[in-house]
Amino acid sequence: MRARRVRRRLFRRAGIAATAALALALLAPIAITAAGAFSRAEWYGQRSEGSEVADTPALFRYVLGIWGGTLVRSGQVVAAVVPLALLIGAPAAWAFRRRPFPGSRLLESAALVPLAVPGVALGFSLIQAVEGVPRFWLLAAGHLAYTVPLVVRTVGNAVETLDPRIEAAARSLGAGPAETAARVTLPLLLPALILSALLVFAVSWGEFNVSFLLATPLLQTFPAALYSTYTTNSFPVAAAATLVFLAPVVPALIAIQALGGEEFHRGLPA
Amino acid sequence: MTRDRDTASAWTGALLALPFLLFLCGVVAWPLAHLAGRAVTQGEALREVLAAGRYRTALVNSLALSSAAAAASVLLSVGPAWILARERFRGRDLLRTAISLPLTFSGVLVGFLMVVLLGRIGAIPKVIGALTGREMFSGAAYTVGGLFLAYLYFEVPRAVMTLEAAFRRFPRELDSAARTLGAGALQRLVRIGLPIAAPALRSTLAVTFSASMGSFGVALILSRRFTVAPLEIYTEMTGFLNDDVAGALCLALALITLAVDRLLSLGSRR
Amino acid sequence: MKVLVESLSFSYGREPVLSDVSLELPEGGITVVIGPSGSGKSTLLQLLAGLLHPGQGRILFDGEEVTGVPTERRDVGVVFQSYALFPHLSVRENIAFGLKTGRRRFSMRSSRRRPSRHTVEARVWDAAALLGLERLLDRRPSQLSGGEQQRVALARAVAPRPALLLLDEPLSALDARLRRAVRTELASLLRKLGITVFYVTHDQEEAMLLADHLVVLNEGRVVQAGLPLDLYRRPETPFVASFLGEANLVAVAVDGKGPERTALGNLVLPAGSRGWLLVRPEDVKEDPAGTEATVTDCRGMGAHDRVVLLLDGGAEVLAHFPPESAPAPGSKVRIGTRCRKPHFLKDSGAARTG
Repeated sequence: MRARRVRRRLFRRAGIAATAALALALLAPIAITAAGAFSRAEWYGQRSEGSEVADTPALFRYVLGIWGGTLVRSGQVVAAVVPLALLIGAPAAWAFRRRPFPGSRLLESAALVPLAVPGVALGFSLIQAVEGVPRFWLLAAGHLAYTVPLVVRTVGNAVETLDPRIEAAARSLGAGPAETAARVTLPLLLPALILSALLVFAVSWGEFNVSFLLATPLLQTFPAALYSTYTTNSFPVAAAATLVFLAPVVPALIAIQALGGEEFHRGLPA
Repeated sequence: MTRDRDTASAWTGALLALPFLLFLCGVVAWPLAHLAGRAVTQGEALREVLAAGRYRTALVNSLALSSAAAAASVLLSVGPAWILARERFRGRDLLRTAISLPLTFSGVLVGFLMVVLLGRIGAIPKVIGALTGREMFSGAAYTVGGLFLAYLYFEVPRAVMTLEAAFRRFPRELDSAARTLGAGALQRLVRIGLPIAAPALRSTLAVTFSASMGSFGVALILSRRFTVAPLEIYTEMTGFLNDDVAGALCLALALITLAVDRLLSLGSRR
Repeated sequence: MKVLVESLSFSYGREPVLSDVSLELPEGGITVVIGPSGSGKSTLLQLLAGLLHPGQGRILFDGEEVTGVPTERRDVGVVFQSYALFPHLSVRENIAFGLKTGRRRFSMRSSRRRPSRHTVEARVWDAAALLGLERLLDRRPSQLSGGEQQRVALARAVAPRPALLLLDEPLSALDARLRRAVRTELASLLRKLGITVFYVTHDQEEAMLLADHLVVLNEGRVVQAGLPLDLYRRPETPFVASFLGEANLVAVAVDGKGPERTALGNLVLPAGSRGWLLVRPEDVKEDPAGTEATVTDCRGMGAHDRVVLLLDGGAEVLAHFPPESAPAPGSKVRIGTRCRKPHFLKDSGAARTG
């Protein structure tokens, strides 16, 4: 009988060890890349632009110098996509659970469909089908396709766990619909809304497929610039650019985990 | 009275979901419909895509690579997802954050990491060379194997997160109930655990499969002889300015992906 | 099967849940454990089921120690509070589940083989017939009402004919009306089965109706155990007295000797005794020779009138008078008790009215 418990404990230990090994395997390439950026090693190949850069601070200055503009672009895209995704997704998610209407179930089940559409295909058809819209907004639309579903799901789950009687109680105490929303529903959904915003940020910041296809010389996001740096620059420059890309992602991910972001799995198509 | 209230509530719901409906139609449905319309009216391109060896190979390659990577990533992820969902131990949140990190990586970044590890002068061949004096795995990143590994790299985090969310909802009492009825560990897994987890496994396969089908950046960096559909679309569009073929390929890719996604998610939500 | 629990202790981390619990479940009888939430009664059930393992103490089934034996080899049936029906299996498959697992029992004496398909079918049918589930066999749990789910859970637990049946608040998920109906059915069914039953509840009426042997648990300890009516009539602590029903507890302290006069009767107690006199509301009656009291509240409950009386000394007494016989609030009545010798609870120092 004791043997059983020992066996169970061993099984648990082995499972945890395997999970840790998986995490290490996923982190290792990043660690190696970081090491490369700081030791200015050459693990990449023949490309050499930027190999003359002398020290590590200069390396990051160099990266910001050539790709600073694309960083600003990425920032602009994210700044447009995050509030739009919330405004489109959150009210709908609430309506699906609390104010169902004919066809709302169908609409809700369609919410996840965009995630299964290949980014290249969506980007291409956006260019073909939509005329007269500035490229920037076309690109933002592409990002919305992969972020609004996340908002609908995250907020929808939060609404589901929210006891409807709490809203009913507010109504019974004399609060109208607007006041109930402002003083009860929204504050209670705030964690889910923050989580959604972080998810949208992380996905939009890293989006490549649509961005690259819709990119013009004047409209290049940072992930698209990463492609250029990987094909033209020396390894330390490429590694440093990778670290610049990761800098805002890591704190966002930690915040997402802290808020219980299990919905993150449906991230953008890579 | 109640009927009026119901109607009013339905109207409120529909109004709140209106931006979402417009988004779904404008950003996803209309461009894809436009794509389909063009492909049908200009049937030649579609026929060419399906007949010509090169395009068909790209589609078949995408399908094969994505299926293999999806299946392998689910297999690899079941254990760690179960551990993360059901065991409590120190550092669990850290492990989860580490595993979720690659979710934000664009394909080119994953491709770059793969080159850093297994490129012609990548870290692994270098280490092996220093230890054994032999040249091994040099340039492995550019083979089908390297491509497969890169796909696994961005799919495993998706699979772990999706499965973990499902495992966390798994009612613990069912396991206890099966035990009191005399079922051993294997019987519990086969007769209770797997059947209940089956929808989650299917939807995880759908998530990872769609992500792979749309993946573009990895192949952009790594692909040499082995081509995949998104890459072919990009080449047709920007290289040969052949929008008809690109559109037909887009349609084929989107249809295959959506069909598999629907097939796998059938019945995954009761 | 006779079950013996010897000084069992269990804690979650450093939080003690059960301390030094000893019990005997009579063979073929229904033992009901009653206690407030957090008293450790569900934990005790899980220890008996083998779903938890005790820090200290032993559990014996028919004299054989099973303390470390895993659940799947213990020969117990459990009805869970949430029923825990397998959602992916039909009612038939749920009931058959325990018949097909090929349970190897802890003792070689009662070991058995996997029954044939024919036997399984017959047993499923028997269990279904016993609980009136014949028409529902092909449904899924999600297509059943709460009462039906409860019956499936019970059928699933009894189909393998376990030696010990454990029920964890099996009626708490049902609404009040259904609960009352099912309660009586369940009582006769459990008696018909004739197996040893361990039943956990927090409902006093349920306990009185079902129990052959009643155990009161509070804060992880057995407060009192015995025949249900004994516990009701002769509780040892104010907690048991008030947990098993409404109670008038009159504090008594004997300074001198001789018969002590209280508002509700006279009794002889040794000098220096401290404690409480227990008078149940149904034992209070109008008595022209009794103590004078003022009616402060009166409410017809249907079966009786619930009357609150204020004695001259300031003590409040609750009485159940025959229906529609109660005096109006504000009026004065004289009251006495029905019992010749009211029960006296000795204050052992630790006990407090709970």
